[in-house]
Amino acid sequence: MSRAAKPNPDVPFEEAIGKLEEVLSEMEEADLPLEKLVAHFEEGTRLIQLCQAKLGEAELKISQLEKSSDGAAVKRAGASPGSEA
Amino acid sequence: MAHSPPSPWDFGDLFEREPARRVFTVAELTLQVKRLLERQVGSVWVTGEVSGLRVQASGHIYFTLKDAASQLSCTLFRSETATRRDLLREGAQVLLRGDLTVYEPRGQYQLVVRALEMQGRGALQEAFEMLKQKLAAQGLFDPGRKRALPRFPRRIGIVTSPTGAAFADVRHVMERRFAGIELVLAPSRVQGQGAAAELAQALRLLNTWSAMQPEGEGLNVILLTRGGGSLEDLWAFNEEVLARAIGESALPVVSAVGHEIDFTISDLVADLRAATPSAAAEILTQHYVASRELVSEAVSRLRLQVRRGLDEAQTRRMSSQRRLKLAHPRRGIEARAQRLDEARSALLRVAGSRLRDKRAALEALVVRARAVRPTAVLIRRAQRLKEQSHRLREMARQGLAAGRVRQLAALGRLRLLNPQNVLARGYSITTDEATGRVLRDAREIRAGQKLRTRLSLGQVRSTAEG
Repeated sequence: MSRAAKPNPDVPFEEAIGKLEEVLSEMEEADLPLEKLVAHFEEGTRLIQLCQAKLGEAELKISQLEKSSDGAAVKRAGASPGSEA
Repeated sequence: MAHSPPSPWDFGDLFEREPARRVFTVAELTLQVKRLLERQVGSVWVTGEVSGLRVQASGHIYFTLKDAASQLSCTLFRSETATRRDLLREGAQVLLRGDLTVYEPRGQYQLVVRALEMQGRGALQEAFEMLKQKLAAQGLFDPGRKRALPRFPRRIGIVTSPTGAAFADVRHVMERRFAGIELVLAPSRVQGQGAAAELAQALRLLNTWSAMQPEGEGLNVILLTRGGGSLEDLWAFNEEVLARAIGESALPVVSAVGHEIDFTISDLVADLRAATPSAAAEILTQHYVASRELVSEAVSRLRLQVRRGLDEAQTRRMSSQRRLKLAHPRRGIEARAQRLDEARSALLRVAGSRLRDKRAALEALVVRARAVRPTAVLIRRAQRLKEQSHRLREMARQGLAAGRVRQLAALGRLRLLNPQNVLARGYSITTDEATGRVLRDAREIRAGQKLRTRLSLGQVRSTAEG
């Protein structure tokens, strides 16, 4: 299989889900030859895995912007102040 | 001072003794009063109605704050830029913070205004309406300005208080629905003096930071939010400085301030208004939630399509096979051979039946020919003659025998009917002598009548006695 089989984590979710929708509608609406159908199936399965991996991300990342001494904004990662109010 | 003993009539000095004179100049006295006021009263909050408003060319503003009983001179210097001088209108009910002092040239005490707030809900509402009209006229609320939100935001800027309920709500909803997002917080106070400017500053900070990030690393959308509160608590979101910052934001802005019923200027300028902080978080993650369903259904949809494709291919293959079999040349030969067979047997059948018909006709003719031969006719006639003579003899013989039998029978019957046979058994027959009539009933007989009675042997004559 020449097609990239392993999910590329750098693909944005929006792109992956959009491609998956495209693959599905092509399979359902167009009368594809069997060979193409199988290729689409593999592509769809790969995209599902990718999307599932992205949707499975459990951690909400929180960071905070602060102004540095020179006035530029600096992001301080992991700033997750506990809820007091 | 002790006088002893004090007389009950000692009333002391009726008039104070004149002290040593301390004479002030007007300036000195005024200064004294000024110091006294500044020290003893100093910074105060005071409420009243604005009147006699005068804006000088210098930019300073003079007016009188009054109520039903009194009035107070007020000055708002041009240097007090943070103050909402646009709220100062003739007759407006306002709340002022200022330093009490004395304007020495006139010897007039006055309030130097440092801060100014509209007072009362009605006044706030009025300020809200004024700003709304102004911004609407400038096109800040135009539907055409509203930008679409990203369907799948990866990095969301959030302007709110880090300790507020709103921030906690947003985090909670996002963690529950879809956590794979980064929230970049630009902290700000959300109420009180100067909060609006701070919020505006935070909004700009997020825009600036995002613009500096490499492609794809910046923010996709900004959420401006705070939890519920009174109209006064939410007031920062009704201020022009924040409205302008939202209008200028390069990134789309979602505004979620207070509860469902609260509408702020921020909501109107923002690209989208959410009813609550939680609702905003739900809107921002709604496509992730929808795509979770899509992805979970996608597996069975993919399988179904491949199954359908395989089934179709199978059906097509089978139908081709069938058609190929039908089109094979052997089929033609077989069909023709069959037809030939059928034709042959049909031919035989027809020929056979004709032959049988002819033979039967011939046989009938032979029988008829035999029947009309002359010798056969003579023999048949002789035989008939013989039969007829025989029947004639038989009939004669039978006739004679029958006559004899009938004669004998008649004789027997005659014998039975002879009256002599009856008389022989002891019966008698009585007749009238005169008429010879047979008497059958005794009532017919009269006395003296002559009777004749026949017995088996002989007869008796007699006369009836009665």
